[in-house]
Amino acid sequence: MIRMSPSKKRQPSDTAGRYPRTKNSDDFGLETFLKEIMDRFAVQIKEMLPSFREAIFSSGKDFLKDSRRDLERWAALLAAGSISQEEFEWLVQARVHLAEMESLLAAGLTLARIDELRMTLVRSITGAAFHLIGI
Amino acid sequence: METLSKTGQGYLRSLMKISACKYSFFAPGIVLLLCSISCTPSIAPYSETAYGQAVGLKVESLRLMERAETPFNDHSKNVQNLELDLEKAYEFAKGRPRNEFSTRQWEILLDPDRNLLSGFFRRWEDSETLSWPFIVEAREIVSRAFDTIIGLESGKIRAGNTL
Repeated sequence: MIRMSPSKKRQPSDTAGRYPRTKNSDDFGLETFLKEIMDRFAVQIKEMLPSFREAIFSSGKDFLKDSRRDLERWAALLAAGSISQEEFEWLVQARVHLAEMESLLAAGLTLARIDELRMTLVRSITGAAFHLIGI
Repeated sequence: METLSKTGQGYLRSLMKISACKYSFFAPGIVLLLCSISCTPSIAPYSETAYGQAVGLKVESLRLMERAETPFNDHSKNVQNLELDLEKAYEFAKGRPRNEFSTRQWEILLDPDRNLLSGFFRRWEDSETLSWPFIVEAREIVSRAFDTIIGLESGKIRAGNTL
């Protein structure tokens, strides 16, 4: 008769249930870490987006308003004989060149805001990491 | 280890259990990612020098434009001196890395073939004198052109605000 050794019953450890077994290594804090980063970043994006949107709309509205105002004023001066036809055309062309500079301003400011957003993302990541490890 | 919170302790124990885990290289990857995205800005940072140059040159330029009712030859020396300072500001902008937008703005403003500051001076020289209503309108356009340069510079990130 072959004596079978009694099956070893697992003894509950002190940490049973505190750190539940997981099926794969994805759950070793990584999901939590990434979720926290995205949550923080989403909050910051949400706070910044309205000001971005507002800046874009107001810049477009200002451009149309200013251009119209300029043309009306110059047309009035031309009609009054205060400026010549050639001066009127010169000013209109000047307005076009100014518009080019204004578009460079808008593009440059957009890049600066992207840089700010990038730094915000880095701060979010480091903040989440410190929070996760309890600092 | 006792100084860490329970969550932190559990996290560290988990990390220690992962000896051959494929995510063991993740931490250096995060560090590299942080470095790469924080160390490559898209545009040059704010420069006090560039800002001061733009503001000062705006004031001088507008003041000189107001003289255009009088003969150009009476002010040719002043125009020459101002153009030299403008060129210095342009070269300063051009020499800064990632400063293409500001540099292009200066190029447009100082292009004698365009109808902004240098184009105004060329017109003044060709016509000898200019009419006051025209001067007022051209001055307004040039003032706004300078404002785009000043606005872009003041909108850039201050160096102290970087990581």
